[in-house]
Amino acid sequence: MAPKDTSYDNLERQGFDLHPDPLNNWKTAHGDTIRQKAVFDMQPTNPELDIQPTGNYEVWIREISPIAQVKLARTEAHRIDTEIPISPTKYATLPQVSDATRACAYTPDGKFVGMLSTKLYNNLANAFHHAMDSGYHNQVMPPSKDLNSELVSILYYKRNAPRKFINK
Amino acid sequence: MRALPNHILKALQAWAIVTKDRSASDSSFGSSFKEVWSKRKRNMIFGSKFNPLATKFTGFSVCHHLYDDSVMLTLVRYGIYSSLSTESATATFLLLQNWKSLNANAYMQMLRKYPEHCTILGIIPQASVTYRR
Repeated sequence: MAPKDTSYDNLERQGFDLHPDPLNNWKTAHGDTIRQKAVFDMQPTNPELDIQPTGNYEVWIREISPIAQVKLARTEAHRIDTEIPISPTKYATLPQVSDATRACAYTPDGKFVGMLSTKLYNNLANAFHHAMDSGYHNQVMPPSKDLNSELVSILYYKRNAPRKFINK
Repeated sequence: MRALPNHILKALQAWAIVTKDRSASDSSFGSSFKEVWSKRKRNMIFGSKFNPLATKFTGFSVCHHLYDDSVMLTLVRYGIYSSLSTESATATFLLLQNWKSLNANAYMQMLRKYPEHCTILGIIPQASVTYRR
């Protein structure tokens, strides 16, 4: 049975074109040209953090605005009761936003991996180049490609390392 | 990233002539330590040596590993046995956790077992140990 909308005129179909194949009338051909150009990235993208893919591991020194959650009081007497509405005498606990310069690391497809302080980045860069000049890199397999890929590797390692710290 | 506060490391370097970090984190690289060891082999790219337990401890070192009782017991044993089996001056400064002032951990018992070779130099209050990034 043919789909009901085949009998509708263009006005009723609100501009949706019918598929040229009569057997696929139910498939809209609307926007075919633009849809063929669209690329769907199945990985989550964070426009606040990620960058346009460059095909290489990247470390960018950039301004960021990290948000730190304010630690809530642990004792019962000072615990904030979320049931009580905000009032002139009861203030909301807002996160603290600050501006900072950080070395942000990205994968070749532009995904943000993590960040380092610029001081730590400089220390690691100096250590990397010093180790390279001293011949340490010859002992490492697979050989190092560049500093940026090693920094991304460290950040992945830190992210995936098991957290053994338990606050006893 | 996990790293001891600078003031503790600097005090050990200035007043205890510590030159080796046996438990390097990433922020130890490029620091003023002459030698650093890491448990991640790939960190040789940054000039660290691999596996602090591959050789005995000699010289003056600082060691601050994971908060794990078995790891800390291994390090205490390693530090003591290294000092017993070497002719050169050897001192290993370990930063051990003292949860809720309990000292019944195996590594604390080990310290008491060798009073001539190890001692507790001091206790750093929790508020003075803030990890840097």
